[in-house]
Amino acid sequence: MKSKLVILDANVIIDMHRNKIWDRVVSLYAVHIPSIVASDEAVYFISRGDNQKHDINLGNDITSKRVRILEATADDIKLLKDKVTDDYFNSIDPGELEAIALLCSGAYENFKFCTGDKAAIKALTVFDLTHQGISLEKLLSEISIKLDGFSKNYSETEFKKQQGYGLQEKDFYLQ
Amino acid sequence: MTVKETIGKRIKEERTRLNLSQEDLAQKIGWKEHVKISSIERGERDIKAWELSKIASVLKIDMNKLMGDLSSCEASLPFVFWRRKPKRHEEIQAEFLKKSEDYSLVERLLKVEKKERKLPHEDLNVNSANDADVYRMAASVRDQLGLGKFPAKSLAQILEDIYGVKFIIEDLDDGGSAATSISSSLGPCILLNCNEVPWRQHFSIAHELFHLITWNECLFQILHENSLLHEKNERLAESFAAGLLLPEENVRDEIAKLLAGTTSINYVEIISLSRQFEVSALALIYRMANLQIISWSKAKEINVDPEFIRLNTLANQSRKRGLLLSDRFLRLSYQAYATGKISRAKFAKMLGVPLIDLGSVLEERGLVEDIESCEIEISNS
Repeated sequence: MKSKLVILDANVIIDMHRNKIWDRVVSLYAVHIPSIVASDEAVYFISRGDNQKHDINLGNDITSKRVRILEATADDIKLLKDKVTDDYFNSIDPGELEAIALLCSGAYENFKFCTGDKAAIKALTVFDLTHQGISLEKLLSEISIKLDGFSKNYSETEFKKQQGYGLQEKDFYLQ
Repeated sequence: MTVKETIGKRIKEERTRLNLSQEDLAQKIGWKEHVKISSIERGERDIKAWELSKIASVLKIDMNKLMGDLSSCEASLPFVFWRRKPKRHEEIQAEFLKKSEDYSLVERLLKVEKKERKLPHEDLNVNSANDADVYRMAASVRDQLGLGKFPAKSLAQILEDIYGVKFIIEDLDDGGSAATSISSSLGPCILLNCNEVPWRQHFSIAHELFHLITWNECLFQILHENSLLHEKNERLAESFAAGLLLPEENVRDEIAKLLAGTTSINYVEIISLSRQFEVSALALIYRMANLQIISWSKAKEINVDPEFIRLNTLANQSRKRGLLLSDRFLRLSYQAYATGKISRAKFAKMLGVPLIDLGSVLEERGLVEDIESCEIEISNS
């Protein structure tokens, strides 16, 4: 039984492939991916060794049930849209919006959303989902992987900092 | 109306606007059958978020606009004036407006949108106006904008940074040329062809500036129905561009310097001078004819002279490509991304680059991604 239910954003998936830790992560966590991220965004990665573009073959992972795809409905997205200003809604990519819409639906209370994207971390706070966010540094530390080679954006310190900004800015974005 | 019914109506509306059939839309999304589109448009089918995202992307519109109120969306669509419409102009126009909206969104998120000065406005009677009128207008605009002796060098930057003109650069591959829009929601916007060389882009910017300055939607409707008047208006815009980028006094001064006591100048000097003004050699030659520095017959003769064509082609090969992306838009959108005001994937889409290439594209422009949030306290004094 895998210990934790996690939802990953596109940048995290790409960088896990780039740093060759994908297989280890999916073997230890119950990895879930928003459908928009799976179909449109986490498609390629550039490997560290040869600096070449490689396919991210999520199809195989899905078939073998190593990862699961989560699909939000248009109604879930509409509920999210109605909570915030149009400008704020438009500032976040559909892949991240879908992840947040899923969490907002209440059906995924035990899931953690892992992202290093400043706007997405802030969005978790704006939608009162701070407790459902997790930094990549923390996620990896729980399976004894260090953040070496990853961007500073994935650190726990940066994650906390962005949550703080989200709290400060929240009132500007809510309808 | 339910969410799916609203979305269905909006999708139909936008698909029709782009002149796409249900089959076309299904094909662009990658669906084998159009039955799904038909059932979505009738409001019968529950739509998944990824389907909505894909449809919005093909229709070149933000997802929220497919879930919004029909009348407000319709009312807010700005008018676009085309110099010459390319074949697939509906799609290009939608892309132009989408990118202009992205640009405006970034401005609003950074709270910079209301700081720019207003462009001058001139009422123009196309029927009675002549070249002399637009040359006077060009001289006045050049002074008001503070463009200096070599206007092409600073025109784009001044229009963007001081007057808030948005430059959207697209691949208008089948020969379509620039377009202009001005609206309360988006402000002044100019669409440029990325396939144009820099000096042609400068001319296009000056040409489109004429339309912005003389903007009159009633006139555009008349021009749409009267091709002769449309052609005249375009000729006036070309004269304005020549007058703006090649000021009479400066052209005469520079030619006098080249003559320096002699009575002739050679092709290399002409081409070199055109570089100084950052316009094409041909534009300079025609301006010289217009200023009666040379005769029109001489200008036409030079235009077809194989030696001039050879030298000009060689000189052009060493010139850089034109604008591919507005500097100001890159700067503002990067600022919005770096401060967490837009997400990374959104930023990549705004720049039109795949997510995995974003890092290298930014690196090429000296912009870094691996940023810790460090803030500097600024004192009020």
